[in-house]
Amino acid sequence: MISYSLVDFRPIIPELVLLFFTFFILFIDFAIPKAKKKINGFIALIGVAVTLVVVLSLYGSSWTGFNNMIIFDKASGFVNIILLLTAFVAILMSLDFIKREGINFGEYYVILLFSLIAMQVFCSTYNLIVMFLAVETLSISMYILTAIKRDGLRSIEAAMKYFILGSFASSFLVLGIALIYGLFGTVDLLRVKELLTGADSLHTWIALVSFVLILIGFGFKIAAFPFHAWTPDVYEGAITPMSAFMSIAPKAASFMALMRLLVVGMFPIQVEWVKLLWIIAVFTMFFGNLVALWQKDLKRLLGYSSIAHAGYMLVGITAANSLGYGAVLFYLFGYIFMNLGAFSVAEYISKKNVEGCLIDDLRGMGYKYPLAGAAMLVFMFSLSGVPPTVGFIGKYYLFSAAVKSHLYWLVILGVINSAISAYFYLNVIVTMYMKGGAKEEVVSFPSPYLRAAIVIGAVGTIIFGVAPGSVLNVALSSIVF
Amino acid sequence: MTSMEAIIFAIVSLIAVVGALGLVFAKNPYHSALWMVFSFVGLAGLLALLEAYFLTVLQLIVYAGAIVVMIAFVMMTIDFRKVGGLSKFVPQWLWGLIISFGILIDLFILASKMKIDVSQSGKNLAIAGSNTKALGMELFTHYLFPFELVAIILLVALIGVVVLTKREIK
Repeated sequence: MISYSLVDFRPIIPELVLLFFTFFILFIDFAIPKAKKKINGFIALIGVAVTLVVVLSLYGSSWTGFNNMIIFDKASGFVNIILLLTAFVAILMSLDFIKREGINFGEYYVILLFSLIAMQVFCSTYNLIVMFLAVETLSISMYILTAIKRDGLRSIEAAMKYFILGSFASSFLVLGIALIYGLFGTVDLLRVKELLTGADSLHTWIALVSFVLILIGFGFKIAAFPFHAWTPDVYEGAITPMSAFMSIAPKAASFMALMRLLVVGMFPIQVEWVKLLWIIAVFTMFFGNLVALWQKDLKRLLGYSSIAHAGYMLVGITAANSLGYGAVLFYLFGYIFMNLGAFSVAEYISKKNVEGCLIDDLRGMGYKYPLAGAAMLVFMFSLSGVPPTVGFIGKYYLFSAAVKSHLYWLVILGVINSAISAYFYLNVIVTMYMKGGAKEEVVSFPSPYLRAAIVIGAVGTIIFGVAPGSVLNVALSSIVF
Repeated sequence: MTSMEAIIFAIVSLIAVVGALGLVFAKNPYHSALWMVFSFVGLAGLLALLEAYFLTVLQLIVYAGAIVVMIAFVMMTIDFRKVGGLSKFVPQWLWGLIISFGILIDLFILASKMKIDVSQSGKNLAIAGSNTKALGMELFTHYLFPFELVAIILLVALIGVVVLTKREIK
C-alpha cells in the first residue's frame, strides 16, 4: 500500500507556485474590464518572476516524490531557469503586441503558463508515462497558442499542420512507450536501464525499435531532421512572441528529457544511439543551414536557423560525455538571449495583422533605428557564432565535447555548417546597413516592454559571451547522471 | 476452453468481424457508423471472455458510446449528398489490402509460434479478485501523479476550445 505525505510535494514546488498564479489569472480575468486586460499579463509576469526566485532558492537540492514519478535535481533546476527566463521575455514581448492584434484575452497567458508547467514536469521526470502526459499538455497548449490569432489565415493553417503532424508524432511516442512497457513491465527509466543491461538479444532489438519510435516523438519536439517539417510554417504563422517562445522553451524541456532517456534509460545501447544521433545531427545541421540560404522571410529564416541549432545541440549529445550534456544546457541558456532578441527585432518592425516579416523590410533600419539595428547585429553575430558573443562560447563547448569523444568528422561538418550559416546571418546585417533605404517606410512598434526585451537579449548575449564563467560552471556541474 | 465458451467466442467474434466488414462495405456513411457500434460490441464481448471486465466496460462506454456519437456528430456537419457521391475506396486501396493481409498473416504466425496459453487468460491482472478494483488501486496510488496531470490536459483542452471558438457579441 502506497501512501503519500507532504514530503512528496517538495519536487513540484515550482510547478505549484506557477499553478497558483495560473488559476489566479483564470479566475480574475472575469473581473477585469476590457480596457485593462493588460493586468493579466502583469500577473503572469509576476508569477514567472516569483517562480524563478523559488527555483533559484531551491537550486541544488535533490528530491524525488510521488513514488519516483517526479524528481527535482540540479539539471531540472537549470532547465527550469531557462524555461522561466524564456517565458518572462516572451510575456514582455506579448504585453502590447496581443493588444494591437486584438487578441488580448486572459486565456492567452493562462495557456502559456500551463504549457510552462507541462515543460517543467517534462524536464524533471524519469517516468515515460509522466513524460508522455507532459508532452501532450505542452503540445496541446502550443497548438492553441499557434492558432490564437483566430482570424489570421496563416496562423490557422500553421496550427492545423502543427496539430496533425504533432498528433502523428505523439502516436509514435506512445507506441514506443507501450513497447518498452511490454518488454520490461515498467516505464521507469532507472528500472529500464537495469533490465536492459542484462537483456538478451531479442529484448535488446525490440528495445532499439521502441527507442527509435520514442525518438521520433522527441525529434518532432526538438525539430530534428526528418521530423522538422512543421517548424518554418509554424514560426511564420504564429504570432511573433509565440514563435519566440516556441523556438526555445519546448526545445529546452525536450532536450533535457531526451538526455534523461538516452543517458539513463538507454545507457546499455549507447553504442547504437550514438551512431543514430550522429546521422541525425549531421542531416539536421545541413538541412537547416542550406534551406535557410534561400529564405526571404525573417521568421522563416529563424525557423530554419532553429533547426540548424537543434543540430548543433545534438552534436553535444552525440559526444555522450558530461561535458557535452553540460554544453547543451549552456547553449540553450545562451540561445534564449540571441533567439528571443532576434524575434523581438522582427516584432519591432512588424506591421499590424501581417504574420510574416520580410528581410527586405529591414533595409535602412540600421540608420533609422540605430539601437535596434545594433542589437540585431549582435544577435546575428551570436547566432552565427562570432566571438565575443554567447553563441561562440556555446558552440565552442559543444564541439570541444565532440572532440573529446574523438568524433572529429562530426566537428568538421559542424564547423562547415557554421561557415554556411554565416552567409545568411550576415545577409541580414548587410540588408540593414548597406542596401539603401526601404521601399516603404519602416514603422517601429512603440512598446516599452518590447524595447526592454530587445535590451535584455542584447545585454545577455554580450555579457554571457564575455564572461560565461559562472553560468557555464553551473551548467556543467548540473549534469549529475 | 470449455465448449460453452467456444460457442460464445464464435458468436461474439462473428459479430465483431461482420460489423467490421459492414463498416467497410456499407454505402451510407451513417450505416457505416452503426456497423461500427456492432463491431465494437463484439470486441467488448471478446474482452469479457478474456476476463478483462474493465476494458469491456470502457469499450462499450467510450468507443461504442462516445466515439461513435462524435463520428455521427462530425458527419452531420458535412453535406450528406456530397459524401454519398464519393467513390467508396481511396485509389491506394490495393496497398491497404496488401498491408492488412500482411498484418493478418503476421498475427497468425505469432499466435502459432508463441503458443499463447488461453487457459491462463485474464489471470495476470485479476490478482485481487476483481481486475477493475486492482486497476483502480494502481491508478489512484501508484500512478496518482500522472492521473492528476491528465486533469491539466483536459483543462487546457477545454480552455483552448473556448478561446478558439468564442466570438465577440456585437
